[in-house]
Amino acid sequence: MKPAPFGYAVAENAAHAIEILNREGDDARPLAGGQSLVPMMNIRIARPSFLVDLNKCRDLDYVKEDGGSLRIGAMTRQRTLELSPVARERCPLIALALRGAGSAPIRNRGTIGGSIANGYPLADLITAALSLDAVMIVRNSTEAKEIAADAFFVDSMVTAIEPSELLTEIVVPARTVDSRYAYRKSGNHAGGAAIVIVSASAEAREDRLTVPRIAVAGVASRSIRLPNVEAAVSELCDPAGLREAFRADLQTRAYAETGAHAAYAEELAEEIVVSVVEMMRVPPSGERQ
Amino acid sequence: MDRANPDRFVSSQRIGDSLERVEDDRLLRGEGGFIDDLELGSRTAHVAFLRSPHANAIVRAIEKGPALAIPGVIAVWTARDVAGIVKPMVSDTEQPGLKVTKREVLATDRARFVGDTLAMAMASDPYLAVDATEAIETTFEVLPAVARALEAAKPDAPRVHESIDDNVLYETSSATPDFTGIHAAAPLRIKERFVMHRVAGVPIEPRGCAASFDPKKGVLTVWSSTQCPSILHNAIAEHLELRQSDIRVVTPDIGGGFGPKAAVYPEELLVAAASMRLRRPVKWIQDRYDDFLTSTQARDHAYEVEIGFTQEGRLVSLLADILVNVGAYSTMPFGASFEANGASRNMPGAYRLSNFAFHARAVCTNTCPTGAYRGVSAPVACMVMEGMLDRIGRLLNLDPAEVRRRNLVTDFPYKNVLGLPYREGCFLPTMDRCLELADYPELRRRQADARDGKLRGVSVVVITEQTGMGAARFKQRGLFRIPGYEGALVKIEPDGTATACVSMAAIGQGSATSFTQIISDKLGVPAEDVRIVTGDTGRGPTGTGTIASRGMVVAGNAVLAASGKVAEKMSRIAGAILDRPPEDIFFADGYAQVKNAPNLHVSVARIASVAYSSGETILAAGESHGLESVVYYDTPSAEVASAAHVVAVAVDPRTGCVEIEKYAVVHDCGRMITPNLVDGQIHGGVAQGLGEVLMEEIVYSDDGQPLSVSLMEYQMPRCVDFSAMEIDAVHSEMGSKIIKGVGEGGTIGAVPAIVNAIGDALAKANVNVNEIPLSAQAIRSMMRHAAASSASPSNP
Repeated sequence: MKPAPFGYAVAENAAHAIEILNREGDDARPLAGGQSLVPMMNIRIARPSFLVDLNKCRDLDYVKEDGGSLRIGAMTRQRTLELSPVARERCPLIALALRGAGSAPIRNRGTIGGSIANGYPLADLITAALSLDAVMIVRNSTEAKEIAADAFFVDSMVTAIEPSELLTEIVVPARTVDSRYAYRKSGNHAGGAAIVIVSASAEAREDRLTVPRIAVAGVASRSIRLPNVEAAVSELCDPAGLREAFRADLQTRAYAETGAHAAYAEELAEEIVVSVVEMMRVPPSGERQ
Repeated sequence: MDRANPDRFVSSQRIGDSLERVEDDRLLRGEGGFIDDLELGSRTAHVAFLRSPHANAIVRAIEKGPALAIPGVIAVWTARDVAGIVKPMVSDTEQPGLKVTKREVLATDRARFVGDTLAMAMASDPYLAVDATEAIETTFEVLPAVARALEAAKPDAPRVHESIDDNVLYETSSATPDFTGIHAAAPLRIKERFVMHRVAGVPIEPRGCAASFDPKKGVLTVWSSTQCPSILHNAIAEHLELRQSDIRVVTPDIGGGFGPKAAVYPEELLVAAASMRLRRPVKWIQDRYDDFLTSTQARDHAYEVEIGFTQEGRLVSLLADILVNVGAYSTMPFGASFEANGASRNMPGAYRLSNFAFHARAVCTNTCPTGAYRGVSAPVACMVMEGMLDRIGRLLNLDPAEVRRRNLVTDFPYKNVLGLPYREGCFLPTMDRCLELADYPELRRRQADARDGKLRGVSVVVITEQTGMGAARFKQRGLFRIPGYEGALVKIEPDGTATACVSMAAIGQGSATSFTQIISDKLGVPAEDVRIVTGDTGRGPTGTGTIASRGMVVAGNAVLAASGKVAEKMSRIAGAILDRPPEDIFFADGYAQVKNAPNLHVSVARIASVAYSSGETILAAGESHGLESVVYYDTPSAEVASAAHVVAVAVDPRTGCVEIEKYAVVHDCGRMITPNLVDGQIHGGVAQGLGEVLMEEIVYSDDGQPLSVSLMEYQMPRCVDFSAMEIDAVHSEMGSKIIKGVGEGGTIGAVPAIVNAIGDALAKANVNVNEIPLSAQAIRSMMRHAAASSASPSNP
């Protein structure tokens, strides 16, 4: 558990971080909460030449409502966002996703931006971000780019962030009175790593779910949206129809793994997609999340 | 403080009371002293080992020049550097059926598993030591490798050791008289095959050791996170050719052992040798990745069994063929026969079995060596036996509890089919109490309710645990490096406080608490005045180690006996002071007190001042100074503990996920010293059994590449995977006077109990459960196959 040698500097703010990243070249990496990067460095799978520590960047630590959106600074701790009253009120799906993201000590340290930028396909926030049509704000020394979730998550551990760029903010749409959310993951056992994650949002209008956004992790090399299932939800399909739509979505994947684990994950995902749609169809009763 | 002050209120402990752990205050404040907390100064050489990336390869060249060129690198050792300094490890002794192999502490010309040690890098800091291992240049000729026992036993399999042409390190067989005829004549027979995967012990603190040599005194001190300091002491003397009296082995606080830390490892011998060669302190701390590559693993068994029984479900005969994967090397001190012999030895268990025949083979493969892990072979041997009893029940339409009721041993003393004596026991009352505790009839009723679509299963198993083995039993098993006894020195200091030095290591289970309680009970000193020193060969007597559920049986009894001897002398001194016969004296709450004379007493501190002549009172004529006793305790055989487990599970047929809905354990460990610590042993043991059945799995590719090298791949249970566990204890009348072990029964019971509960749940889906682990994925796959092969659509 001893990393290979690396350089290190503390950034005072986002602009300073970008400046250091520019200076240190392509193998420099930002260090956020370190909950994924540091273990990988410890077993020397990750060998960044230089770490830019973002933990002093107060300008990246915020959760605020802005019109119909929620803007989340990339250095916001996962636990802070999970417990944030404004996030709970304006986008309840975030807390649903975060409460099972590792243990509380990991969420105390781990950040929103760190998890999203790491691009691990089974990270809870990534599938949630896809099902919310979140927008990532990525800055470099000259501009700030808005990248939609579906374009941002390129592949397993690969995102649209270029060298010398920094993810600074995540923007998610705030809820309306009609918003419905469902989030479910399944692993081998309650305390185990997720094998499949399904995250969904929709607007309930006149007894039907409109603009459904359903994302699944565990059946492809990245978390993916399910357009056929989304269409089937809009068309009020029964479970059999949903299953058929899910299998159609699997056909359109860029790359499908084979073997027993992949077969199990697909079977599990199908069950969970059906159950998640059922969950969204039931109007929330009693206390809202 | 004036300890002789008669107004000072103190309270001593009684054996049998639950007690807060005396260790916890310090540990919970982060004030523990684990191996990595040991600071040996700026001259310390930190070690990293270069491990083989190949499962089977000829080592052509190791070029250490580039590593030595790194500033801060002190030395790099390969096999050539240690020739003549550290002898190869030979774990077995010649015995019938056993082929003796050796393990070089650093691989000479051949690497036999991914993790075999090629070189030892020493540097001024541990980061540089790892950098040095990366800079070493190696050239290999990669050979075909074999990872599975079944493949390794085939005639054309790659050889792991040149000298062993069939890869079979150990083979044994045995049969009771006329077995073949009796077995053939059994009214009914069932045949089954069981496969159990490989698991790892995964103590929260990986291994580590350090050594420092004092050239002026000629003394070598070795610190190791080991379960067996005395065995390590012996091994260092033997392999470094040193005098026993020039060595001290010290155990620091230990963050869990579970078996993998019971072995003597090449790293310990190399670190000790390096400290003498380099004349520097040398320290090695293992990381989790290295732990998964090199710390001994366990299980990896396959069984072909056939059981004979009557129409009434009474056992007639058992035939077993056992295949065990021992990995690349025989492990010290347990050797190659350990798991294979343990398998058959644990099969008869709590049941009347008169006819037994078995054949067992231990096969080497290009995988990490296997060794002790909680329960050793018993969890899987019991999984076989309990699995067969449930199959008998299903065939005869008998409740599993009834099958057991008809076969449990009820008359004691009993000698089992292998000759093991059970001098007392209460297997049937244990089972009945557990059925009651779990509300078994209600669990069966709930099983019928499937409104949530889940499949429910219930099991009841009864297991035995061969605990407290002494010298005779270990020698009988051919384990000549395991002494079997434990030693304790108990001393009342001149101020009336107590010190005890106990040979076994404390590995986190709270043994200091129980030893404190014994001393406090016998000598009347309050718990806060007792200091326990464990596993330090420089301070206390030697012994064996913290293995095989022997701590309280052997070391506890050593402390008890030594305390008794000190109490005798204290009674004589107190009797002289109080003018009463010594037999009327007893000790409680800091005082020697007199039966039927509540006003007569003298403090332990005052007795001590007399014994050490540190006050005005002169010691009586004929009495010698001092208040201490050393006792070496041994047991003639083993104490057979037992337990019943009742488990209810719900299996989600859509996901394959298993949920534990009820878990009840009733155990018989005889007389309990600290009942809350006994509960702790059950909790932890069951958790490890649950992990073994549902998730933990060491996976190797067919060609010997390890695929479980982090806690991402090797999943372990968390608290959320449990529901509440109900525990009760019972014992026979004779058992109330006997201390039996309890360290492994939780795991031994949990493996068969959870497997059988899942088997019960899945029987409705025509799934035959005969393999572990039962991951959600494995359960779904078995259900799919069963559905595909089931011709009858009317099956529920």
